[in-house]
Amino acid sequence: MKLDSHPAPHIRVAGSTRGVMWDCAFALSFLYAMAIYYHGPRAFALGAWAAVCCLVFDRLCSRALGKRHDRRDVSAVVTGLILPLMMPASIPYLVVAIACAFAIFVAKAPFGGTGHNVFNPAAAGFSFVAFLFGGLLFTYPPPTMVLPVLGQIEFTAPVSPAFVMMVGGTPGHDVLDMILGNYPGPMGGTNILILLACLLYLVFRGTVRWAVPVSFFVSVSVLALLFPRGPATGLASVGFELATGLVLFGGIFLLGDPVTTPVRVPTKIAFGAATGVMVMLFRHFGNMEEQIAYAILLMNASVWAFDRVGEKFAAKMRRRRREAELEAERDKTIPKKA
Amino acid sequence: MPIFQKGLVLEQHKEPAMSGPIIRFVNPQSDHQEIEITKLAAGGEQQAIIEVARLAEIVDERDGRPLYKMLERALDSTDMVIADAVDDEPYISSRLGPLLAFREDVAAGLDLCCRVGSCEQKGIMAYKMIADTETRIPRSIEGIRVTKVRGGYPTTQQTRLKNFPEGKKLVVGAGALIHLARAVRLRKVQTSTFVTVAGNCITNPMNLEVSVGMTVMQVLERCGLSETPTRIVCGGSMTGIAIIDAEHTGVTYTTKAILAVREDKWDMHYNCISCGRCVQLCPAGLNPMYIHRLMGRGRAAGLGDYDPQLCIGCGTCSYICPSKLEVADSVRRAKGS
Repeated sequence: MKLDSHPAPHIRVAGSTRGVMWDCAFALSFLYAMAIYYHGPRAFALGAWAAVCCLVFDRLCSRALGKRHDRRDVSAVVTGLILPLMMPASIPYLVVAIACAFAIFVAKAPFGGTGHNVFNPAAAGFSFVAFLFGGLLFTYPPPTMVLPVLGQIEFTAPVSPAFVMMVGGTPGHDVLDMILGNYPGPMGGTNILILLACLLYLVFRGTVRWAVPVSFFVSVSVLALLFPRGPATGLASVGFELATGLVLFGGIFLLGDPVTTPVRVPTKIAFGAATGVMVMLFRHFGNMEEQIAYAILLMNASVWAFDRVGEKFAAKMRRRRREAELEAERDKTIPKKA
Repeated sequence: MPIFQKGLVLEQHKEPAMSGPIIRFVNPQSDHQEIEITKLAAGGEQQAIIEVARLAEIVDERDGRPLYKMLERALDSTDMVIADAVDDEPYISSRLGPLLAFREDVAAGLDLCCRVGSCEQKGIMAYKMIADTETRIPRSIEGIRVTKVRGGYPTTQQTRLKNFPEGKKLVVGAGALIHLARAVRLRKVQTSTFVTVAGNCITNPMNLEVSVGMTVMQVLERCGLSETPTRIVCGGSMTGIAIIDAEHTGVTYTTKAILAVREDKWDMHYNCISCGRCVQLCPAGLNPMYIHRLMGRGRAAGLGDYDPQLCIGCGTCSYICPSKLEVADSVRRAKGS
């Protein structure tokens, strides 16, 4: 019998990092189902293409860096599945591939691969192609138009609510349509109901911690309530700010990424709120239609500061508690003189 | 994985060992060893009980302290005696099993300890968070109330004693109480200890009464190995020590369990994704993730702010880690450095 020496504990929780990644992919698959319902099989083809691209690029990076590729690591698939959902269904395959390449080659691999990246790969990939192909990225096909998988795509682009909000108007869409995703926008960003279901699923599975997304949404809502962008005020403004663009999608899938967010819950809440402020600043003073990816990238760069302050604070609390405990013990052991 | 609450409730897997009978697996030569009593009367009943505990070499199975020393300290100055049967680690029921099987002995042992401490109050504490057992833990055993300790793993002494009234308490392991009762009634020296044998390689998981000094291999063969284990553990599932030579490792007074486990090595050691579960669940409020990273990079000098010396060694961080990293081991090494 060959026995190895192992440190304790000798039992482990069921489920692993791999399971966490598949959980994310499972939640994303419902967004793909909706996208397929609205735009036909092209949505599925885009997702599969991006996932394969990311996996292949990840593998190439491992080989180029002389590392042994970890076949269990499926985080690249999640990055790949997130990317097309932030884009319109009419996006050319080449643009998706470029986004994937930037995400893996620039944002992920140079920092050390899975778990070491400073910036969210999907947000980085999206920001890169948003610079290069802004025109393609922000012309959305009509929501119920089935697109061909291959070949030329022609359509008259309707005005998206995000654009209307940017130029200072009020989107003329029905509330029910907004909830069901029946309005022009990125493939995954429009299905409010499904997105909220995804958030609940991921939070209750323990894949995404509630702190960052919730504080982010609260911060965006409060700012939308206080400083409405267009003529719509009050709750209408909150609804439009949350529903248009990628705020919900980014809050769940980009900010839910544990690698590029702080560790402790209080710092997570501060981070989410700060990201919300950043997004609203971009919305008020920027002239881009999709700002959240940039806001998230900027905030990712400051995660270390949040973590450092959070750790200092936690150490202070920990030591104070410890001293209180010691004090209580001392009181018990030494009887007070009468 | 808890979302909001702090603390970890583990699946206990105590069956079938807990409900089964306790099987004696003892060395016939040492089993009949009797106390040689020369003079017991000196100093009255209390001294006699302490003397019996000393001669019978009874050891508290929780921490290996001799029982007579605990009794000497508690002499005439105790308000309450509590039998400790809180098995909060999964698979282990080596205190709870004997408590349910030898109820009279536990009650008699508590009675003896009460006489030494000259007090009336007695209590038994068991773990509350056991959902998968066939036998329910009764509300009282031989007229003594059983207090169920709530809370996730690990239950500290503080949370355990929270449910009892104020005052000086003497807490003794259930096994030691049984041995004390036997020593007084049958004049038996403690030569055996209660051990849970379990794990996914064991054919018949059970609670055994094993002679101290018997080898781990003998115990495993008694219960049957269904397949070759990759890891044999002496002690708890969360805090025990993995042994590498089962033929030459003996059962001691404090061996509460022997686990034979076969594990899936493919599903271990992913990259850390900073999910923060270890940070959320650490009962000492540490950041095991950062300590693990610093130790992995050989930067033990930067550990000052992370207080690894406050670690209580419960192993929760490694248990919950979805990347299946040896976080607890890193913290332990950081504590030592």
